[in-house]
Amino acid sequence: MNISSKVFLFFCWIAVITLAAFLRFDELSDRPFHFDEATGARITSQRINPAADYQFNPVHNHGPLLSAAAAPICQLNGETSWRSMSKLSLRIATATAGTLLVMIPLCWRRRFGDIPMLAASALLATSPLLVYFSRMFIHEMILALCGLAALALVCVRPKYSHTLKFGVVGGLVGLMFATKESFAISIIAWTAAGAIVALSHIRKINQHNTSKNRQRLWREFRMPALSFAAAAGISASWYYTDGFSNLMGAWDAVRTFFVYQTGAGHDKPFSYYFEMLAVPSKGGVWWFETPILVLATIALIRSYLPSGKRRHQEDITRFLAFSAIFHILIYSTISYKTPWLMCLPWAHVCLLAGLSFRGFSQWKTPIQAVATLVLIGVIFQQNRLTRYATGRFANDARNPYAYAPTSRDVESIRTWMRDLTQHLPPAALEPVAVVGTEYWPLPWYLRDFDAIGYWPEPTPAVSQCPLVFAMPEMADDLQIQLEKSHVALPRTLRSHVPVILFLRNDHWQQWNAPESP
Amino acid sequence: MKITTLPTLVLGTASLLMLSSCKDDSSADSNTSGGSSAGPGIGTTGGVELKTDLPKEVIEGSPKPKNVKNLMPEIKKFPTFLVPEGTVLLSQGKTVTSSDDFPILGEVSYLTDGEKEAGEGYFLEMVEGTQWAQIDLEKSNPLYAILIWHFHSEKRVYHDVIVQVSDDPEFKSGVTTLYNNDYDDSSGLGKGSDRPYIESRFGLLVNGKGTKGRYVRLYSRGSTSNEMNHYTEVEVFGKPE
Repeated sequence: MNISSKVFLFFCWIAVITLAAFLRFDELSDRPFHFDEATGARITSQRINPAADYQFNPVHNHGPLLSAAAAPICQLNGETSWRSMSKLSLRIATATAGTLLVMIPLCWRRRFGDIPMLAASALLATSPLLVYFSRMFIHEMILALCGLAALALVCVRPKYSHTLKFGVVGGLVGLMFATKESFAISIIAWTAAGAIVALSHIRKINQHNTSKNRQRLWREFRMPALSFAAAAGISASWYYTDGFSNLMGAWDAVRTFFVYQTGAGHDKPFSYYFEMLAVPSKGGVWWFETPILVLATIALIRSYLPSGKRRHQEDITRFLAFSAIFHILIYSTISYKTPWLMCLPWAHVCLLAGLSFRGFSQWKTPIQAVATLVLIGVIFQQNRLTRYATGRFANDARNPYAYAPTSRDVESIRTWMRDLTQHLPPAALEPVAVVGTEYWPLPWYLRDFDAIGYWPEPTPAVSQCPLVFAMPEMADDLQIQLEKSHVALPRTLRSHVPVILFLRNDHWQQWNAPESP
Repeated sequence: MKITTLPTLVLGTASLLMLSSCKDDSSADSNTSGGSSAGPGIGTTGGVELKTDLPKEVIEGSPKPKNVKNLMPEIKKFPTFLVPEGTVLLSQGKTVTSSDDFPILGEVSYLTDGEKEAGEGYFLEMVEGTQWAQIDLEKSNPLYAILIWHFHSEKRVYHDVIVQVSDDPEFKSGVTTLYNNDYDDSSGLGKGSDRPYIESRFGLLVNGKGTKGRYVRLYSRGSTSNEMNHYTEVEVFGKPE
């Protein structure tokens, strides 16, 4: 490769990574906080505040890595309390993870060449699903980063030793565990994919299955295996035990697999993920990531076409393909489904789609030209859809990635509360009552108040509160209870979830009174 | 979706402790709820009844929100509203502009095309946030009634509905606000005292009060259903001079 080609490729890599960063960081704090982002922020605030005595909760919380990653960013930005925290500081952690994810194909440059890996990187950079959830303060992008990095490193020829390589891979798997208990699904999917690829070599394996070879393999791989297990255990334990200061955290990390409670209302049909990603649907615009799936299928088919030269490349391609298939199948079999669970499986698919350009440099010029045009077209289409998904449709329920999106109207409630407070004596609006269930992310938007009570249903005490938020199922009951004392104002919490704000009459009158000159 | 009850115990206890010092206002005047407007009124005394073709009733999904007393009373039939004799529909086919240069669905011309039916193909959808649509009536005339249908196939409440009239296309001078239910001034056009209302096939009838103007500008800021801004039809009635 001549110098001008190297320079050109270097700038292509810079361009892809810059595009990835732009798509993930541009106006990052614009979208309102999602239900799950707000609960994650609450956990992070407990970690920041020494008085809160943070502990991992195996029943309700995913792994501690997300809050551990976000806490120092908040502290660097001078945000040391629940009240002072900002969406931007929290989302920086996941946007960074999403940008680093795009760099993973760099690991495979030597094995597969620059063009296929640039293609994979560009597809990872512009995937609407991956960009959307990189901009959200939830666990998935950290899981996707650690998962894809572990998978990529396993397939890299080590420069130094297997022990070091498997130590790093183990550390990454440990971080996956520290991120989310669903890492176990990835372990199962990878094991199954590895078994299928191994089966294709069963004759060769049987030929070499001698006690001498087994002993040699044991000698060669016992240290790497030990290194893997130790690194995985240490990295996961470090986070679950809060730096080994709470050893019960390690037990809770195991217990979470048995006691973790998922929320209701997320059951979906088997085909949900396939339809979300592969079947074009109209909702304001056409939503689809079908071209990536088509390219990934081409990569898998090509790995079975006779070529005979690049066995390792073909095995890796098949392993990647079967890993993606098993991930998607397992997640589809589980009735609890949310769109962000597809981040790691879809990262596999994007990487695989890049491998459809395997051997690009040996292709004839017309084929290269067509392939380049196809790639540019797919990237352009993805980029356009990503801008819709994170721009004007970021909060629109028609966007398949916007899952129970929070309305911007909630953000204006906080602004109004601040204005209202200036018209009233200090703390006149407190205590604030929130009545009903599924009220998150309301606590995030009410964090200026010191005294807030949360009731699952109306009680007489609620009538005493100057400011009451009623979730839809409680609105009628509270309307009757507060009819004489409060004025009711309809607001919007989430798409199709109105929340009724009850403001005590005297405060309403004061707000509406003509201002003195 | 997790830890939904996490702060309940801690904050609930703190709140209950504070309740003892909380002012009991249950005897407050019940007439103070709601904005100052009680609807468009009867219109022009001695006038003739305003007539318009109403779209068919098409309600999809579950009605929300309901029984909120601060909303304008849900109307069951088109109100009797009087306008001076000679009042005609001025807006039919007139030019419409909007703050959203690239509407997601529909076209701005839908506002004045005379089609009021529900469903895709009949409404304009503009992006989220406070957005406006503006009708150029071509001449300045006294206006007596403005009828607005945002999206009437679902019982939803649009936030910050503001109706203004002016002879200035930029709405920088000579602006008269005929309706404003932005009680918290979240759209930044001034605090309004009109009451929010539930969308229906009867639309929102705004009393023009004979205000003279060439341009009618309508604002909104999403609804209880989603953040987008919709318009199916707008009718402006006035008396040509």
